[in-house]
Amino acid sequence: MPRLEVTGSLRTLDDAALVRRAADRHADALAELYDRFAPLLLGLAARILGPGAEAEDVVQEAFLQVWNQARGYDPGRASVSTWLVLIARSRAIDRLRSRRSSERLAVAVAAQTAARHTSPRGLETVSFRERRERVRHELEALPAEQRQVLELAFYGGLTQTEIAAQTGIPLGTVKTRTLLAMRKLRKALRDDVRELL
Amino acid sequence: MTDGASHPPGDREDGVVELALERLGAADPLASRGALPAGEEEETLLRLYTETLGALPYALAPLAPPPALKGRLFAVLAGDETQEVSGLARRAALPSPPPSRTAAPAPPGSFPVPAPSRWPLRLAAALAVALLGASGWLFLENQEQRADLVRLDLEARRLAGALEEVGAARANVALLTSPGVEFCPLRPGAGGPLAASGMLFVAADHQHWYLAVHGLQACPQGRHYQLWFHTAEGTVAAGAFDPRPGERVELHSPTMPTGTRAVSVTLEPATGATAPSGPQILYGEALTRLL
Repeated sequence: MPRLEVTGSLRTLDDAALVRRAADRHADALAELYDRFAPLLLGLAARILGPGAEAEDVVQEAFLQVWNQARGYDPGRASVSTWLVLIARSRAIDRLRSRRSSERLAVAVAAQTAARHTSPRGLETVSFRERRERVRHELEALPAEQRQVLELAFYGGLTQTEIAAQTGIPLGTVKTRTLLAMRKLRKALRDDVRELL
Repeated sequence: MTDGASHPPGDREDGVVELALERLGAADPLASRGALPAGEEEETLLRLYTETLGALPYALAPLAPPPALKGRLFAVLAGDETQEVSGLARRAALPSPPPSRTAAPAPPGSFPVPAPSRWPLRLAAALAVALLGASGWLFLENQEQRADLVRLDLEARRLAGALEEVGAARANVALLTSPGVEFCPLRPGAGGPLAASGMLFVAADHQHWYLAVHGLQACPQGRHYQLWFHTAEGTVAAGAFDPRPGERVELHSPTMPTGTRAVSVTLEPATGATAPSGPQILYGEALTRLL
């Protein structure tokens, strides 16, 4: 049974400490992680699948996976934020692929059941907002063709071969653009990345 | 996301980038390590590129999950645990195998003995039935208690949500009645319905704000309303929303960009916009002191 006792100090715990606590079956730690990251993950899932019930399902599945795999989380491999992002992205891309293979019926159903979103109550923390502005700025600073291949890979779940086929760009060019975009972003976001480590 | 392309032996960083992208496609993106040499430098680079990829969604507008989603998640969690416990309870309630009824053969040459009385067997059977009945009753009782716990948990979460809303409402009332509070009416923009209106209240610290919007139509499919703060440096996205037709929308936050001089609501693609690009629904710029 998840432990549900309420503790007032959870908001002061860092993300990794919350995951450790969730690994010990403290549901309140998962609730705090949810409050911190659900808007980010829902934004990501909605970007991949479109807003609606399917994106919300992805968020729910992602947090269930976090609950089940919290013991296996290794802070040496990725920050909690990145771990959560990659889990949610993987779930959303799986659904996107499944949707692609089952034609448009699923899209129509998802559209009919699209949930309404209200605005975030507290919107986001200052640091979150600042990071968002920086990442957005750096993405916009990339040449459009580099940003395109990166977004097709990350949000579209496409391999480089698939990107080449879809866009008509030679595979070698796709690879070069991806590498250039990644190198630039890593350098530009090094401070943010260090914050996450 | 790559197709196993080779890279020049000297260009290790490119190989690391490819590996980071490749791992995105794995079932467990952090487990797959590929064929990369396990050098410390490569490990560090791989971590940096993984974090770079993980930072990409920060560029997207965050979306507030509907309150029911959290309740649903924890109901599933509680349900899983209940099932686990139920499974154990079921296993515990299984009747134990009946004792062997094979009688030992009588030793040759011994006197015949009268057949043993059957009453101990009957007593044992009655006890077994009683035990089974008690186990079943305990099992059902346990199920009900688990269900009660789940219900109580959900109730507690609903209550916590309600308390949170009351707290937010109090904070907004405090903001609206605080000394130095300013307000800014939002009027229909060129692309907005005439019935749309809004009112932004900003506390004296020019950080806390509260916005109420009325008369908006439902968003077209694939679009949502986006709130923007306009500063001398540019526009800052301050939240997205997708109301039901005519639904009153309330937004508030303890932070506002420094130097905000105007506010607007536009209709944008739900995939996110980095700057206002769609029709302007509401706009306001003059802050007037209320108290």
